[in-house]
Amino acid sequence: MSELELEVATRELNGPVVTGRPRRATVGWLLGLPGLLLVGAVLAAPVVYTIVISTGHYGTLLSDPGTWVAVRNSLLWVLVALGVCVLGFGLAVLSRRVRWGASVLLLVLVAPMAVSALVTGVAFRQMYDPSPHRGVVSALVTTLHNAVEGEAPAAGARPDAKVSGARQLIRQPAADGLQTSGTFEQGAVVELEVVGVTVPGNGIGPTVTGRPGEITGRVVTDRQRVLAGVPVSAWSFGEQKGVGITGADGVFRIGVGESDAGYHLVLPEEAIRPHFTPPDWLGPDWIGLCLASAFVWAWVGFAAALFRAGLDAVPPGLLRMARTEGVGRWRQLRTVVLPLLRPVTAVVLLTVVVAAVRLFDLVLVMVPGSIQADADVVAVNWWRERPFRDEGESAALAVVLFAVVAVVALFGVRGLRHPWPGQATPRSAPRPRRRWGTFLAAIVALLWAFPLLALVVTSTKDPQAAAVGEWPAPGIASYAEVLGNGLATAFGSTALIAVTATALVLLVAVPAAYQLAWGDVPPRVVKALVVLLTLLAVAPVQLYAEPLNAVFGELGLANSRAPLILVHAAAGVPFAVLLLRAAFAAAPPHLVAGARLGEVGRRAVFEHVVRYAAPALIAVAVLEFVQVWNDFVVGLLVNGATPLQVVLWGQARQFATAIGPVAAGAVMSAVVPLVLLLVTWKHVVRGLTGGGR
Amino acid sequence: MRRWSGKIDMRKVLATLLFATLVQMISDVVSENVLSAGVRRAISIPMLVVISGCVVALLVLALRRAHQGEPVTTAVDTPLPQLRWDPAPSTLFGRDDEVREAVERAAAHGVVAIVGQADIGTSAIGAEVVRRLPVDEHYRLDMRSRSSERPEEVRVVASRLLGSFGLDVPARDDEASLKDAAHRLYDHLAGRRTVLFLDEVSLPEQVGWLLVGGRDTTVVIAGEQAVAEAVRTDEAVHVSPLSTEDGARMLLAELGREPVDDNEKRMIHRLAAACLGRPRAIRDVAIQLKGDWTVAELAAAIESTEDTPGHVFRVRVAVLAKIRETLSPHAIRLMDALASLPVTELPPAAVATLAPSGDAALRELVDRDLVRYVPPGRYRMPLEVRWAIRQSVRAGSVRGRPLARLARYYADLAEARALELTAPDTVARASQWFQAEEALLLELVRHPAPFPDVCRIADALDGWHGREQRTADLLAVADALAAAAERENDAGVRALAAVRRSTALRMAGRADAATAGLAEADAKKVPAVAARAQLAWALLHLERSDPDSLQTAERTLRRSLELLPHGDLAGQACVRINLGVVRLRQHQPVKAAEHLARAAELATDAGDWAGRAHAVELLGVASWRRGRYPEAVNRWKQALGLYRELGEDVGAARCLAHLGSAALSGGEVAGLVRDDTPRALDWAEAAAVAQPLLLESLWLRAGQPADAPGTTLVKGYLAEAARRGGHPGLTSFRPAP
Repeated sequence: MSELELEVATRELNGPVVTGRPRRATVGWLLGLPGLLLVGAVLAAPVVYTIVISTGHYGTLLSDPGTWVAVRNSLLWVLVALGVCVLGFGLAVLSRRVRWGASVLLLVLVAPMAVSALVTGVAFRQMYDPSPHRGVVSALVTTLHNAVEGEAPAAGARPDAKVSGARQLIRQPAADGLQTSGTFEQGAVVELEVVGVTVPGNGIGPTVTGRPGEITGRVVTDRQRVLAGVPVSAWSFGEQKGVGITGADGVFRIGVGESDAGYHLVLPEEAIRPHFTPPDWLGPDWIGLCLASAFVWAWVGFAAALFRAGLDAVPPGLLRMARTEGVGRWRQLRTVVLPLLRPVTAVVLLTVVVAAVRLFDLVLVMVPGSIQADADVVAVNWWRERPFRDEGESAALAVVLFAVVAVVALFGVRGLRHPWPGQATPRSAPRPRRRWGTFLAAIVALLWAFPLLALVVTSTKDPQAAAVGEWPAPGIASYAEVLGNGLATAFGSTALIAVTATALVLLVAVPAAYQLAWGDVPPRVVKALVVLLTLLAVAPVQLYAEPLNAVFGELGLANSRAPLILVHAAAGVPFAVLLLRAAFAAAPPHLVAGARLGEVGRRAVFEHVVRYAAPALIAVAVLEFVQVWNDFVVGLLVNGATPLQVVLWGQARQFATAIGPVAAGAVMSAVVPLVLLLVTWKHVVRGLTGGGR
Repeated sequence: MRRWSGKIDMRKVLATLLFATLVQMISDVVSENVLSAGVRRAISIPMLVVISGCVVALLVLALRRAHQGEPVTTAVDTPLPQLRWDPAPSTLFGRDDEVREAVERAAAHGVVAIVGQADIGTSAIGAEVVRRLPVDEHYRLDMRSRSSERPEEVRVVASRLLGSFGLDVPARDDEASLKDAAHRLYDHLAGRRTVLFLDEVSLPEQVGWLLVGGRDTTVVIAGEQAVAEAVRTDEAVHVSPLSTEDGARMLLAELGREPVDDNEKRMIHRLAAACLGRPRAIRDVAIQLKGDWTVAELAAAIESTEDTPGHVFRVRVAVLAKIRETLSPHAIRLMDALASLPVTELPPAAVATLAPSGDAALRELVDRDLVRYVPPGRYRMPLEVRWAIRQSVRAGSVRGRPLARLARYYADLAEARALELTAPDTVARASQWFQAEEALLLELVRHPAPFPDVCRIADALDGWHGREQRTADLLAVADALAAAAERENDAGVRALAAVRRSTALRMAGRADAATAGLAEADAKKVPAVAARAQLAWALLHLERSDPDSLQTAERTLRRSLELLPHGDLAGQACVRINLGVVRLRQHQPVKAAEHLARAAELATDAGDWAGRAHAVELLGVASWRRGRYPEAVNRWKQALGLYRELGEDVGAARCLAHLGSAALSGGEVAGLVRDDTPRALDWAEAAAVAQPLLLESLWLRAGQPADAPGTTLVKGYLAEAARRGGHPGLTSFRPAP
């Protein structure tokens, strides 16, 4: 009966036009008010103040050669960021070629995202420690060198100055080694004493007795250890008459026959060649590369994960069509894949380049104080030179920094105007899996996991043993020590700040983003706000920290948690609004339309949209929490309570001696964000790539 | 004054007045111990100013309101002219051959066209022919435009003709619709011998559509030379000017005397010759000679007008110059005003607005035969008089801006009547008024009257034609409005006209042209117009029913709703109804019902009863789709009642179709339709319930194209009803197997 065909006639609107303006929802505008107030008061106003007071100081600032070095270095970091993007893309492609474990690879790559720059700095500084006992890289290089070149049994041996007489060893170039100053006849027993040997050696044994036709002896170190495997040769009149090699008890015997000739004993050069010394990674020659590797380690996972999401969203049919038309791989990449990935590339580039230009904490932690001037970047230069500059000059440098990131951000926003690729269709297109891909991926995964593993291992060492590079049995002494040093309090404080700031960001950003996406805001205003929010999202802390400190001091809020909460929330709101707006706007129009037209109430629309944009909300919440938890620069520059990372940094200043507790602190601080990010990573990626449910 | 007074809310003024008075009283009562004298003065003086202002505002508003209401209350409704006609015997001079020939041809072919130059006397010959034909009934339609000096448009002719017989006016003016209308007319007249006398025809198209061969109807056409093209050669009778001899005979007959001497006889011949064989000119001369003129004076006066273009009018120009000297100043002013207007026939109330003491002045002009009464209830200044006056009076020297006054008068009236169209108790009167005045209103829109009034008239006409679904008229008004907007360089109105034009084209089935026109409309600047443009887009998308189009339609409707002014409740109701349609077509009756219920509320608040009826009707459809059959039937009955009260045949036809088809769907529903009780009827009984409803629905759709989807659907259900035991002969439609 219900199949009855009925005429459903439309209705015309004839007759006079009722003049007047369409209804504008004032409530909608109010939704954006908290965000406007927060961002306006805590970000925009100080930024404007800084820009105003910076005028007239650029000449002085730019006449300082140190500033130019910092600017040059900061611009060099942009190249590193570009490298990160290229490498991230390559790893994303690799992850699609992996026969199994692609998600493991991505998780390993992404894990560094969760740890703070300070922890990264600690991990890499430890890795690059010049001592092979502490620095993994140095140890590896030394091992590699020794594997190729061979290790001397009395490496580093030098004559003991306290020995005199015939046994005194002297460097004799003609003999190419150490030669006794006197000669010995057959049946003699000779103890050759050396110092400076870096190999451990064995315990000294009982006294050695001589034999006829042989010269017998031991090679002994100044620490009363005997050296095994050391060749000792007997020379007479420029000819080698015999060779003996020390055994495990350090004893050598050289057959020289029954003649009465005297023989010089020689320790050949290959036996005493000093141990290989790795380069000083943290010196001026290598520090740039070390920093770059740490930066790449920290950010390449982010790039790879986003590129992977973008690649998954490329319609397989498109590529198949290109293939059938004989388009080569390179041309496919250039004409099909890269154009589709333009928005993803824009996000990756924007984020990584801005991070590179704003680089601060990594440099501060990794670079030893003595060479910081060589590795200076603008953000660090601002901090280091602040006591020696007046307010205007500092402001001018902050504005220069802001100008660089602003240009980058505006270019990025242009890229973002292209539509995002659709959501990934997992397993929709079978991709060729390569065995070599799996092998390569495994190597990359190991490589990426290594710094954190090394950090964990170091953290389990006893503090003293860690300092000297020894390997005692694992323990929790370092953890106990670091917790006793006030880290526990910092943990609680940081957790409170992170949770509060995250809640505040969500509370303020969600209604504002909803209003921008579905409200009655004119398109031109939306465009202007997007540009403004982008600029504020990338504004460095240096731009607004000083004026805020003055205000917080006036209000009596200094050294409390409130300044940190407010600054983190205000700094997080622009990014959150931009991300959420994109997600809200991507919600199916009928979902919102039906609700907005009265089929359900406005609150229900809001709930619908928010539910749809759950991945973006998760992304915002997780990233904001992780960012606040891992924050170092805001905690350092804004006069608030001391957060976790600043406490850790305080301990890391005595790096060589406190490596164990520092590593333990770093591991503890990394656990919370790491777990959180790894658990929610899929949602975060979906949220970042503009996807709703 | 008009603008600001329109914005003031009288209730707010009253409230302010009360508040100020209260404060003033309290400040007076409070002791000086509490408030010092200075403070009391500071309160009291501003309050006094406010009170005075409020009183003045109230007075102005009251006066304004009274003034605004004036034209509506004093307007006299003009009934439509009746076509039934009884030709009186007349004396013709020198026309015997033409009359005999015409009677013979009419009897032989059923149609005859009596054609000749203007004023040559074809109407008189036609009347005589009609009188001599052996028939039962005569109908005469004066094809002269009742509103303008131009020939009447075909669509107006069709509207007047069919409307006068109480038949549905064709919705479109294409060939098929007009042909269908002609058949319906002849069907209506069938069964008795009838003559249809089409008088004063100017163009062949005006009558061409009627020449489809009525069985019992003879068509007699009288008009200008060109009309001969509408008929075959042997159906036309060509009329020549009267000879001077016949003219002189006629003049003497009119004077009722013989010439006193040869000199007067010569003068009479000269006068007859000056009239160039036009009987009406000769009659005018006779009238003057009976009054103030002597034959010699008139002959001299005519000779003094040698430079008048067109010899035919020399007589009238000369006569008018003499008459003018004898008229009162008010009558002269009215005469000049009437002659300057682009409209030809006016009711007395409209005439009265053109000059002071309008009624008396009108009587004076009628007495001097410068203005003639045209039944029912209109006055017309003959074209020849009008031209003669224009010849002697410069256009710019006419006092009182008559066109502006007339436009203001009709704009006020049209606005009021358009409002009445939406209310059941006034719709009949308003419809009658629009039928009578629509041509005149359109003429006003086409001429450079004050722009705001032109827009108001165009709005009212748009409402009227939209209600009647007359696409050709909608198009004509939209074009006229577009031209007015172009003159005034008003982008907003230009866009509105483009939107209306597109709507008319779409309703006429020309979706491509509608799309092209709408694409060119720049409607972004005015939100209210932009809202209508969005609605027009949505309705264009709704012409197709694929999912993408429906989604697009929904999106544009949503945009339209956002753009509509807050106060445009009827507009919001309309958009919501269409959103309901979208949801129904998307098979989402629950969501549709939400829109439609809201639309019904909005329409009620706006006083738009037609909108409410439409919403209730579609709510019925939604109920049916949800399986709530009694509720659906109930709603359709409600909507049908409303439509009937409003005289909206199209809506009523839909409701009847819903009810009829529902009755066919099951015995219980048929019981509900018939008796409001779910008593199950058998198939034949259900068919018997459905058949009259469907037949009435079909009958009410008479003005619509035969292939309209709704009509086709009803025919299908009628066939089904017949198959189930109704009357198979009722329709020839057979559904496809």
